[in-house]
Amino acid sequence: MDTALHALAEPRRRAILNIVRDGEKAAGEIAAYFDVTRSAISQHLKVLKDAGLLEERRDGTRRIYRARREGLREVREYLETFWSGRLQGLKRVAEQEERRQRV
Amino acid sequence: MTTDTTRIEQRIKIEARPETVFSFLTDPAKLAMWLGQHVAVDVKPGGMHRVVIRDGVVMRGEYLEVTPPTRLVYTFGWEGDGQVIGAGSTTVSYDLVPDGDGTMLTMTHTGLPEDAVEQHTMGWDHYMARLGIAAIGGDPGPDAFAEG
Repeated sequence: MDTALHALAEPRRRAILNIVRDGEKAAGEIAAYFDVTRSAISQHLKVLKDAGLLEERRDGTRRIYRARREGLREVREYLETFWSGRLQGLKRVAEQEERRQRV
Repeated sequence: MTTDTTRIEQRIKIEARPETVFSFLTDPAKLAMWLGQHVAVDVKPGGMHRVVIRDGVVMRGEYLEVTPPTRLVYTFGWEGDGQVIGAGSTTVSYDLVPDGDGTMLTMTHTGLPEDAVEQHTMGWDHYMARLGIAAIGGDPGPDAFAEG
């Protein structure tokens, strides 16, 4: 899950996810949206795939991608759990200090 | 319950004054007690924060608003593997409101990937379409979204 968050931290990778949100696109079609090298886009596609955010299939020599929606839902669930855990910790330590000050 | 899925909002009542709670959001030693292991912060608008949650998981961003003891806003991203960080990719804000002897703290994390919204919208379209079929007397069939 940390991998997915890391993958999403890069604006170009978020843009790629938007492009393949509604349907499949070949690697070349995705690369055409961007002003960077094909290999840079390939690298982004790999990071997204490894993070569970993209599905890849092969059609002959072409690689076809689509967004893996479960991956995004997992990111959100991870963040919700992350924050609720941290805030519970904050509550505990802040209340401890407050009690000390009031004594 | 929020319906905007690009944001997460969590509210918690803390039995401590806003001044106390705010100090735990800004003092590095106090931040280290609940947020992460290593904390480096320069708490002022434009100042940076970097918090090591654990090895390889590092929060990083920039303070946008610092208003003791009521509001704190910073950008939030994760750092790692020498990759470019989406600086300002998401925003975290804390709002502190006095509540009796304590504080009602609201944490809001906004700017989460838009796809989640699309997913949400798709869900509604799906159910509205089913509703439309049922309303004219047809059978919408088994609900493909109802699995699990």
